[in-house]
Amino acid sequence: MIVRSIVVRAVVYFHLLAILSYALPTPPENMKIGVYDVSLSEKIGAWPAYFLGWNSVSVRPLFDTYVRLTGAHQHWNMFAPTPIHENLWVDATVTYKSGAEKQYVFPRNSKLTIVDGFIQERYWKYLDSVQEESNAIMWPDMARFVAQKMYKHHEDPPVRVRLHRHTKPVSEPGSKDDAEYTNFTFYDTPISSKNLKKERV
Amino acid sequence: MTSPLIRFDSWFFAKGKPHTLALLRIVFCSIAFLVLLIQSSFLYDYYGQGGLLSVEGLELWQWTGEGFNPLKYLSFKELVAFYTVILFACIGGILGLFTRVSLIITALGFLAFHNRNPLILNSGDALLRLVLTYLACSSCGNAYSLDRLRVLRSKKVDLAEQEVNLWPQRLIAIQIALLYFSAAWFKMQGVLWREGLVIWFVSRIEELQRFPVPEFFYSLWFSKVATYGTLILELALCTLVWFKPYRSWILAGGVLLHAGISYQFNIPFFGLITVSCYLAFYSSSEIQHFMKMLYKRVTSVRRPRSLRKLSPTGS
Repeated sequence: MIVRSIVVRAVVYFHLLAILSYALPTPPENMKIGVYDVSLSEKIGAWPAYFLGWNSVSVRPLFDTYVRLTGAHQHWNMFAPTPIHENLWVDATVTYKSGAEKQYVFPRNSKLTIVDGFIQERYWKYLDSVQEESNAIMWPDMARFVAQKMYKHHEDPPVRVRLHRHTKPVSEPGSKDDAEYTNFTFYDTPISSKNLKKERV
Repeated sequence: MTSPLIRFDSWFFAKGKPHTLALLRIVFCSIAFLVLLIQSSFLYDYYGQGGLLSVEGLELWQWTGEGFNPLKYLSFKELVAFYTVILFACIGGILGLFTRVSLIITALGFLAFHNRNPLILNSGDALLRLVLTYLACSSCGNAYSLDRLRVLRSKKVDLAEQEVNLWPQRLIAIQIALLYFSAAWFKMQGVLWREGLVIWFVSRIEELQRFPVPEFFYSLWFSKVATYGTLILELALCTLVWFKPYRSWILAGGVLLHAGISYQFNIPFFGLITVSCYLAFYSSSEIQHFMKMLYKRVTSVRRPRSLRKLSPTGS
């Protein structure tokens, strides 16, 4: 009984330390530990950044395997530190073997009913992260998804997909919101219809 | 005088009645069921090989690798069967039928779905996964459950009267306080948060809006009040909430905060999941008292007042 109690305590405290370490923010980009030279008073004022730097560099790796296996990883940065300040939606132009072109628009909450917007919010979540330049590695997959969606006839498969980002910045505080959407093609790729046939449900 | 660590240990590993854990089980299994149910028409897009994230794409993504991820080996038909099993496990969790097994299957099922496509998750999903795991480790099937009735009939033992380990309940309370602490710290690193401008920007993101709001929501003064108010409330929700005299007031503030966010912004289930965790701050006796009041209220609504006043003869 005592052995069981000790084992349970050890596991639970280990878990507690793991989630404490993982839940803490990473230090701000301009205050990463050891990469800036400031006065002593600034260093004292910046102790939280030092602490966060120490946590993310020295402590967090100790728990990496554990949190990945148990799903205890967590990151509570909703709208923080900098919230989105740009309107965004994504669509694609699909070119078929016949030369015809069609548009595919990823589900847009603003164009859906409240119920559909609620149900299909995960597409927005996906787009919000995948369209970023830092995630360009995911764009071939995104283009393949669009081609798969738009693949209707075996004799006329999609052969090319262009992904477009539509953005409009939010107006500065106190000023009028009169900006227009600007369009930018962020990815253009040929598509192999062979793969699409294989993947069709 | 005992040291704070020893006092923390005795609080954390205390034993008590299972009613709070049982109510948490019913609420979270119901939410898990709904979260899965609304994905039913989009399973292929979300988790299929031809969907938003192929297995090859997933392997390029930084998060995965060694995590529990059986779905990447399944065909779509097998994935649908897996999904159906998790749905039934959620129902088992709600009813408290084979509770431990149901909860373990539900928690592992959510972990598998989350690892198959981490790109479609919001913070509510992460919290749901964590709470389901904590509940799977608890004796939450000892009350408000069919398991309890089964044992009561066969062995004449009332599980609801037995004391259970409360550390899973404490862990949920600590987890939610940690969420607010971390969220507040993340926010205070941002210039827009420190200047009170976040609501100005976020309320103008068209794809996030849910219901229409009054014009003053878009004003600068409201942005400052709401931004600073959010920060203050989040700090209170990880500190003052531990002091009983303030607890209900702070949690009521949290409910209002999430109701406001859920009304204006389309972040499905996040508010509901977060607010449901607040139950972990209440003891079993408080939950029992609340459930009794709720039962009285429901049964009195079911019988119209005019009928209640009548005698059996109708005079």
